[in-house]
Amino acid sequence: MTEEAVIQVNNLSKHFGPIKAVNGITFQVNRCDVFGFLGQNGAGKTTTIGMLLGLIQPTSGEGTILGNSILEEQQIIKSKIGAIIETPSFYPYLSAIDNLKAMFYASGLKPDKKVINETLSLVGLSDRSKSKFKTFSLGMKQRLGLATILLTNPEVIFLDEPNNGLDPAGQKEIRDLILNLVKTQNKTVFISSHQLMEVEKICNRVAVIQKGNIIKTGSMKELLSTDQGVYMQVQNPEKAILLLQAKNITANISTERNFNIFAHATFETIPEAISTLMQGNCLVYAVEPYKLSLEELFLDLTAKE
Amino acid sequence: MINKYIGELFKFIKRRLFTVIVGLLLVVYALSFFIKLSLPEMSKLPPSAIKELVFSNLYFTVLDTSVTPLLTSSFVIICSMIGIEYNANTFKTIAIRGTSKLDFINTKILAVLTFTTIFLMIGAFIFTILAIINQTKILGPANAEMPVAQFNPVFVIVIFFVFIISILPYLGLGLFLTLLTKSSGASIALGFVYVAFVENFLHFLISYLSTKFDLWILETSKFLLGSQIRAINEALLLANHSETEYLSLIYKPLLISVAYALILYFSSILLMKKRDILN
Repeated sequence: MTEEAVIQVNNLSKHFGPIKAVNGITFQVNRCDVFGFLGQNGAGKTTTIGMLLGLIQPTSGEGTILGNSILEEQQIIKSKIGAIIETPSFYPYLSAIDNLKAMFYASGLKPDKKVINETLSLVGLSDRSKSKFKTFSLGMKQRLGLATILLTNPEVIFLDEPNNGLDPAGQKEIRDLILNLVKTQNKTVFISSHQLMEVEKICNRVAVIQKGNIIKTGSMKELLSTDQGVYMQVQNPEKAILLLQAKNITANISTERNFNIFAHATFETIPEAISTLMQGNCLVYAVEPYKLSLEELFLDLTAKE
Repeated sequence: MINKYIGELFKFIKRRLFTVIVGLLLVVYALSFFIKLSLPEMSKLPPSAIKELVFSNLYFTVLDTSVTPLLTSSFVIICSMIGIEYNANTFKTIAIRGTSKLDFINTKILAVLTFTTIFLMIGAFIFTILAIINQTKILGPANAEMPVAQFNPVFVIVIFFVFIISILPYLGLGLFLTLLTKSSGASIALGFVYVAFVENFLHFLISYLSTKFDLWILETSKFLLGSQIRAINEALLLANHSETEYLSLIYKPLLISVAYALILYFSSILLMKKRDILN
């Protein structure tokens, strides 16, 4: 079955004079994806989102969101998406309710009080609905930002650092909310974030951008399975390496904590590796499976570049 | 578009600045009326002359005085309406919701024109009430009449539109300066410096050059922005003498005002077109 591309970007570039902020990037986001867009500060994440949402004019390239051109059909796109870019910005002198009313008006719609109250309740801001935005903490601002996205029931959601300023409980709430939207309402979510642990928990696909170029893209499962194995503490490391190599399991000396070898075994082949060592009279004292984290992958990729 | 326009009215009415401007305008309207009425020469006039003054001349001179606060408030409103979108970084938020660059400009202009019209109507209402009260006091209730009652209603509406048109170039100036500087404070300061110093300096320079070197350029001073409002106000004082004379005097400054407003409006659109919303 072919997957339906909700966001399609082809060779998109943005140059600010001699600076190539985004340099001919190409990627695809499919329906119901929670797509993580990762990169260091100044890598080109916000510029890319800005171009997708018509806030920044691309220098070259093309893209579509839900089949509509980002260059020609922004008004149609805006009616089907919701987004928070950088820190959520609202009118400081207006209350949460009035800010949501203003957002309805900005969309060309008449405010719906019922929807506003329900949305504020969903993001946990009911008790502060009449407080002015300028009195809000960063976490509350993020929640109000999410509320504006949910107001018009968009098909695609763009989130730039959605967990910024949220405490661990708040982060979990937002994560559950996003996953629930994807599962129950078939939403597609595009997340740009620095919080790699959160991205790892929530995203099924990622792209890593560095200096305006996409250096890695793929499913989370596929990317993180590239470097898995097992740390072992054995009686004789040299002998253990030879025994494992005889069974086509590559291994090398490790200095990680108390472990002395690292075997590139998959989770399924760990029992085979242990029994090989035991049969070869090489005692195994400790075993710890290792799986590459998104943070390690990200740091590794960006360091290479 | 209509909901986006209502949104602009909603956002401004909720601001403290709205209450401040309405309060100041009410004070200025009332003060300007009483100052004109309490001029020493008024007490020396016979009742018939006072009636004429209160009915026509005084009414128009008070209106003439009210143009400056009305114009200033419109200028401040447009500057602050745009300035806050940049200051609070909300332009990107409403742009994501579907407000285009053109909607951004047009809805704000329409909202300011709506406020200006309401303020002008409130001003005219206050003057009318005060004029009737004063007539009753000076001439007795039997002789009190509605000010401008002797005029053709169409002519009164024409004067109303002349007021609005005379304000348009200043609205355009506020729009252009705020989009250029992205700051309400800077644009208000620049607007003040332009009107108070640059315009007067240009006027002085043109007069000096034309007399000193016998140049033809004296006429060009009539095309300066500030000269239009002056010409429109001077013509207003003739309105109660002759409608035809008034209309013959008013059309040139009005056309120039419209030209200024259009140039500033299209320059603003061009400026926005070339600029990214997200920096």
